[in-house]
Parts: sequence; C-alpha cells; structure tokens
Amino acid sequence: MTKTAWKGVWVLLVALALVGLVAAAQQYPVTVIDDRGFEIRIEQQPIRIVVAGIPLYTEIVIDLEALDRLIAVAGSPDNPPEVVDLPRVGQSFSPNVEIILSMEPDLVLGPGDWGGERGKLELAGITVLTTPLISGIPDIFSTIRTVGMALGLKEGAEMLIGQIAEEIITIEASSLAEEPVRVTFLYASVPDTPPYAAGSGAIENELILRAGGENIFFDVQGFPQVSLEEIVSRDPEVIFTAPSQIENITSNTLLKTVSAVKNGRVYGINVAWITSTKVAEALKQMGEFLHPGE
Amino acid sequence: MNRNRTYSRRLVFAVLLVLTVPTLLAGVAVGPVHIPISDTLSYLIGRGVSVDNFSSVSRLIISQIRLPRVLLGLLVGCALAISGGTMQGLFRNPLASPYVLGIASGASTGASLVILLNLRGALFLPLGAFIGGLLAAGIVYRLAQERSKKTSVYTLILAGVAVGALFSAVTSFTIFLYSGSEKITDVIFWTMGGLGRANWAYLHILTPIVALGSIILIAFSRDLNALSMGEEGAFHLGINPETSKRIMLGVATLLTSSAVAFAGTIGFVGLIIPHIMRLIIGPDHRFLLPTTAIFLVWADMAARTVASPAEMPVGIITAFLGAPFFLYLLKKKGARM
Repeated sequence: MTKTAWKGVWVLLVALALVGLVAAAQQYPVTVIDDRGFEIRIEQQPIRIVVAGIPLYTEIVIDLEALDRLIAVAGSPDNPPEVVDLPRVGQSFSPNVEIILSMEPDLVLGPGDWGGERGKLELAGITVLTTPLISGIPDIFSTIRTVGMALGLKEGAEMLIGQIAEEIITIEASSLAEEPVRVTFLYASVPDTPPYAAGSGAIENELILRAGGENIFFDVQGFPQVSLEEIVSRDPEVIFTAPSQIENITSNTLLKTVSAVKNGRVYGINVAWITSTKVAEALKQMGEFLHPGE
Repeated sequence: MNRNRTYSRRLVFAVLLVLTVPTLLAGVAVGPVHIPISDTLSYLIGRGVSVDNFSSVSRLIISQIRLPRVLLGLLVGCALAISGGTMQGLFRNPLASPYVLGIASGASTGASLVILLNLRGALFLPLGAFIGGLLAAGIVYRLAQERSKKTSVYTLILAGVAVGALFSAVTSFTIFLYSGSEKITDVIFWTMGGLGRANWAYLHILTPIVALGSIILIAFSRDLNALSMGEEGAFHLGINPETSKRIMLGVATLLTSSAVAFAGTIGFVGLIIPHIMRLIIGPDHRFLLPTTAIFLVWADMAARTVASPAEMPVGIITAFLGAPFFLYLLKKKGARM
C-alpha cells in the first residue's frame, strides 16, 4: 500500500472513532422509568451524581466505574469503603434536601418520599431517579439497568448483570442435586422478642430457594413478625440471620428445641450484601452453610 | 396593681410581636448549608438587590426550602397553640390539647391510608389527613350532643379518647396489613410530624385558614374567659354559652385539622405553649391566644441544625425545649396556676 493509502486508512479510522464518540454522546437525552412509573428524562450525561438512597446505588456507580462522577452519598453503615471520604448528605432514610441542593448535582439517585424530599428536589428542578424497592434479584438487575442507562453506561450495566447472573447460576447449579433443607431467615434484633421472618416476596426468600433451601415461612407475605411457637412447630433445620443477631436466637430458651439451634446450625449472613451488587456472595455464603463440605 | 399588670401584659405582648421578625429571619438564615446573613437579608428585603454574587443555589435554598418551612412553622405553631389554649379554656381542663377530640388519630388514619393505598398527587396527603381529622372530631361531637341539644364537655373528652383509640387501632391495623411494604416507613415518618414537606402550595392554602381561624378565636376570647369560669357564670354575663362553645370548638377543630394535615401530628405545642404563656402573662385569653405562635419556629430551627446533616423530628425538640422550661415556670409560679 502506498503512503497516501495508509493516510486514507488513518483518516477513516479517526473519523470512525469520532463518529463512535459522537454516537455515544448522542445517546442523550435518555428516558428511564422510576418507581412511580413516571418517565424521568435525563438531558445530558450526569457528571455530578449524588446518592440519596440505599448503598445499592453507590455500589452500582462504583461497579460501573463511574466513581469519579459521584460527588456525595447519604450516610449508611453499609456504604462501600470507596466513598468513605465523600461528603455526606444526611442519612439514606432522610437525606437533607438543602445540602443536596448546595452540591449542585445533575442527578440524584434514590431519595424516597418519607419527608417529602423527592418532591422538594424535583420542585427545585433537580433530576431525581428512584428505582422500585428490591424484593428479588430481578429488581437488583433492573436497578443496575436503569442506573446504567441514566449514566450512559448501558453496556457496562449489561455486563455487570451478566456477571452477577453467571455467579448466581453457578451457585444454584451446585445445589441442584441436594435434598432441600428446611430454612428460615430471621431478623431478631431484640432478644426474647418474636423475630421477623422472610416470607414470600422478600428477597431473602428467593435467596433461600436458590441456595437449595426450602423456606418454612413461604406461606406468609413480606416480613411479618412470627411467633416463637410457630418457629418451634415448623422446626427449621437451618436458621439464617444477621451475624450480630445469632446470639439473640441461640440464647432464646424457647427456641432450644428447634433443630437448627440444637445442631448449632444458626448462621450469620452478611446482610449488607443481600440488597447489593454482591448478592451472589450472600447467596454463596448461604449455599455453603446449607450444604457444607462441597 | 391592676394597671400595672395590664402594662406588663402589653409589654410581653409587644416584645413577642417584635420578636417574631428576628425569629423568622433567624429561621431563614440558619441551616445546614452556610449562606451569609447579608445575602439572606438582601434577598428578603429587596429581590434583585445585589443578587449577582448571590448564587442561584442559595436563592433556591432560601426561597424553596427555608422560607416555606419557617412560614409553615409559624402557621402550624399558631394554629396548634391557639386551638390548644381554646380547648383548655373550653374544657376547663389543663390536660386538654388540640388533639383531645381525636383529630390526631383521625388524621393519622387518613394519612396512612393515602400513603399505603399509594394515592399520588400533591395534595392527597394533606387532604386525607384533613378529612380523617374532621371525621374523628365530627363523630365525637355527634356523640356528645345531648337530647337537650346541649354539648357536654365531659362527654366530649371521653368520646374523644375513645374515638381516638378507635382510629389508632384502624391505623395500626392498616400498617399491619401492609407490613413489609416500604410505605410503612413513610407512615411512621408522617406520624412523627415535621415541617419538612413545606412548600408554597401548602402555604397558599393554610395561610387564609389560620389567619381567619385565629382572628375568630381571638375575637371570642372574651367569651372564652367567661366560659372558663363555668357555663352558668357565662350565661349571667350575657353570653349564649352553647353558641359560643360550638363556634369555638368548630373553629379550633378546623385549625387543628388543617395544621395536622400539612405538618403531621406535632406533639406538645398545643398542650404546653398555652400553659407557658398562661404562666407568664396570666390566664386572660385575650392576651394569651395571640402570644403563642413563634415557639414552633424556634423548635424547628433546632431540629434542622442540632444533628445536621440529619434532621431530627421536630416533636423531639418541642418536648426537649418546652418541657424543662415549662417545669421551671411551674416550679416558680406553680401556685398561681
């Protein structure tokens, strides 16, 4: 090939690259659907993002490698270490509208309506995006997808989803041959008080099933308080809970006769991972506890 | 002596009236985000004066967040304290509060139904709370109507307690039905009460109601003085106790329901503030009622700043600030009460 021909190729390549860049930049405006079913229009690629909701949003931004666009997060004990130095905008359940406004964000992720925060931000002309409550792994995926679209990182989001899905399938497959174990997932933050159990509709229920368990409280909805008597009579072989709450279950004299307590099969699960992009790791923990020695 | 007392009352009245201005100003100037007081002033006094170096964000924070909030605090504080003072006078009972007729429980039921049934729309929440409050009070009035068409205050109080309990049970049951829903937190936050939802639309509705209601109650404060001596005495003073009572109860109910509709059930203000003013300036309702308004603005200022950037429910502050002050006054002047 002649020199000029090479030049032509180069020009073509650069032009193609430019077209690609422009195409990527021209994705905007993007329209996504929020938890109310409203269309949220995002005019430009957000570069000043504030997370005013649960840490899941922060994790997604980090996993999509957009940490440099995150300017502040809401305080939460489950915040990932990457954001330890970022400014705080109140707590994740009650973000401070005034502080958020002073940050001049172009996208606020996750505020609820508890104290009317979302309404005020919207009134002030801020673009706000809150995704539906997480009650299953598909909700985590759709949150990743929605946030990815909003950030202009659709492909990264699909890759992240694919990666998590693959991990989940691998874990799930490994327990397929096993006999299902009777399990309950309890939150017992107060000693000697009837705990809250994951019923159907809770993400913990889905995780139990995928880890090769059988949820003994599949017949109740949401996260009801269940009587100790009922736990005794349904006699779970394994009890999952938060690590800090194991003591509250094992020391409860009324639960002494339950198989899980008798056999020392009350396990702590890192609950911060459950509603998170690390959900597969929580599932892995559960699978290993249900079928040890594999 | 008589002359002297009147003078001091007038003085207290004037001082409080004058204090309202710096209170409002301070309420707008103080917040988790620092905005220079000179900017705040120039914004409030003359729109357009030196706004060039005054960032649009500060303007947004002042005009859309702090100002509505402070004004809502003034209106709600005024409504609750004036209706609280009126109820205490009418019922001749120091424990009476604006919520004595079950309005708070009724409003909570209304609000939680709106939240849990997911009725969206800017004014559904206040409307639901308002209807709930009025419904509860209406039931209580019906129950307290005697055959002679007279209204018994004792029946009112007792029916208020019972109807309040009934509505609380309805609220708890709804919460139970929806357990596990994210909306439960919304309901709990609402019942704690607060001024965080303040916006101009709320103020446009609430201002005329509170202004008119307060004027009517203050206009009736002479009747209230007479009634607080007893209905027979009032009758001999040429007052129709039944008519006055009904008007005052009706207006106080409307005021309270409106305040609760926009700010949730903020406790303590309607119960203690009238008592504090009673201890300071004496039991004359003509002076008592107008002096009760600004306390809630102070409390809300504290609520916004004490735990910044987190916001405390204002009910915690009203009790924290108000209770010790009330106890101090009670100890000092208690005999007069």
